Amino acid sequence: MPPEIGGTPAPAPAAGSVAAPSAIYDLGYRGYDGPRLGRRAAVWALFASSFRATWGLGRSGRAKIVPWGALAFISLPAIVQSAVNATVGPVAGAAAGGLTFDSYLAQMNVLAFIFLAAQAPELLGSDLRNRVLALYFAHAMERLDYALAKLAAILAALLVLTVVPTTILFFGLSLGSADLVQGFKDQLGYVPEIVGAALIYSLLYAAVGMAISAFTPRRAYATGAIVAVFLVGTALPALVRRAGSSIGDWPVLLDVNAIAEGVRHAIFGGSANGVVRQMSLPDTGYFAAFAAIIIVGVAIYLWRYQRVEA
Amino acid sequence: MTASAASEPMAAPSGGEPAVRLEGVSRWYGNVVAVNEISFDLEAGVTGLLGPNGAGKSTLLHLMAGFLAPSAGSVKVRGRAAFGDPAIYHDIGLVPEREAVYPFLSGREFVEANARLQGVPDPRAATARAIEQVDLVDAQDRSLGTYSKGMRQRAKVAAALVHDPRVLLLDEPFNGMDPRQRIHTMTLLRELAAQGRTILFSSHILEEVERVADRILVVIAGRLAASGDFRAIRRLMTDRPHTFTVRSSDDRALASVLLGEPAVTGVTLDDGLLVVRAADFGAFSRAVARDARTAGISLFEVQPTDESLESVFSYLVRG
Repeated sequence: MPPEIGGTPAPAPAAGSVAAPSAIYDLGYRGYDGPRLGRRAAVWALFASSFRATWGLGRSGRAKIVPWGALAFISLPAIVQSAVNATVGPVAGAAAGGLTFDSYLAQMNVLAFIFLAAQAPELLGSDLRNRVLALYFAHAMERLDYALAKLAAILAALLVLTVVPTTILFFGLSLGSADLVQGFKDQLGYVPEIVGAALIYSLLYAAVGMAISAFTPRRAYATGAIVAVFLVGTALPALVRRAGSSIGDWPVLLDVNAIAEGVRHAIFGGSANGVVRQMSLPDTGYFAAFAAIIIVGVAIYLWRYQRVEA
Repeated sequence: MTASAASEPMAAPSGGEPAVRLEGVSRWYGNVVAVNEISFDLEAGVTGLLGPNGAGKSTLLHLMAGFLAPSAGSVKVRGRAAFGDPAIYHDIGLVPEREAVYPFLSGREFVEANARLQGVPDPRAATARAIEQVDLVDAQDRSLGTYSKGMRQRAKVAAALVHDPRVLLLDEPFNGMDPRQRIHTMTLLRELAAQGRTILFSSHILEEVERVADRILVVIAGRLAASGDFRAIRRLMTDRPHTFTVRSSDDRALASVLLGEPAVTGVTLDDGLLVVRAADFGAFSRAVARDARTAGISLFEVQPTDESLESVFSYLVRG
């Protein structure tokens, strides 16, 4: 730091005049000795900035294309159905060809998957790639805090992505009713399913996506691995079944989407969707697979972040 | 203003105001503070604006040129607010860093277009004068697209000079110029300053600044770190000893004598070269001659080694 002139701070205009005598000014750098917000605030700040990053907020327009595109497309059927409902009357119900709360995410989960495959690698990969983890760990934050904040951010982002369309559908169906109050009351019973189904999908997706993304700084590799896990999980049970294997329907538990749908169906009932409709597995099988994937996925992820080079 | 008028001394701005005055000026872009509470006055003469990349030099120039409004504080050119007052452009000539020229125009057409935009009474005569000033007469009818970078720079300087402004702001004006063009432009700036104009130019080439500027402004991380004559700034760095190399008829004897001087903080004889570190530049300069005479030693050379602008800038930037 340049020396001060007689210890005086930065000058008044006259003193700083170029026509005035030569001078060196105090740049004003000083250490901070005020109160510090501590670890909790650091974790919250990382969560908030990571959540914003998953939606491309504060980043270029290009970074917004995938998350906001996914949100737009996953919400589109709900918006269309709400608009139709408001103009030509209720069409809700599978029988009428409309989307229902119990089928919405099962039919639209590919968009949540695209969101996960694009955003989870970016959330972790850029810090790994740019070798900035040491900057985080040198402050109030610990490795576990960092990993949990990032996990919470992708979980929250997935929750938003999966709750928004069914919430739109909820209001669309409520407001489309002839009796608004009654229509709202009729739909109110679906609120636990709206939140619960979103939570089931989000937990599973976040655990799988983050466990994979933690292992590579290269976004393309992580995205490819997430796609591979989901595709293999979807294709393998069908291949096993076609081969006439004696292990029955159990291979379906390799399919993340089938597990999510199985758990949702077991808790909230309604019609079973997709491959689950053809299966005769006990609910406990889906619950066990659900718990195992989340526990193992999060454990691998946290383990990785205890060892990753900072 | 005509060529003959250009050689007359510049009138002082009204009300005793300096040509350019910045008072507590800050400018930020979102979360980024590019300029942070800077105050200074500029008067006639050449001032060099120095600073590392991203220090805020271009933002400062753009504030003075009225392209940017200050987020806080005030920027005045000859007593008037620089931003939002097109009339100040009669007083300002700006050479931007970017290649802001139309490649299909000839050098003369480009300069003349600027003369007409400025409302100069006789644009052709003013254009001829400006082109002559920057030594571009032979190439004036070629299109700018065929110019070298240095020639385009000179065309920009001519365009900035065509309306005979009192204040000339130049952002990296010597970029791309060959040594001859560089020396010519340096001489031109000195002549313009001698006529009473206020000239501020930014440059990364410290040697250029050292040769042309009467005074310097050093900007670091958006703050004004130092201003004035760089040698005087060096004297103010009392926490950094001055280093001299000394050649004499008996270096070893002179070294032992100098060690007794309070102003001398260290002496080394390295490969026969006597290097002296002194806390006080003035006291050492007086003492070395006196001590040599007393000891009967002939002094051949006393050379300060860290008195260059480069050293001063390096000390300021590294802190």
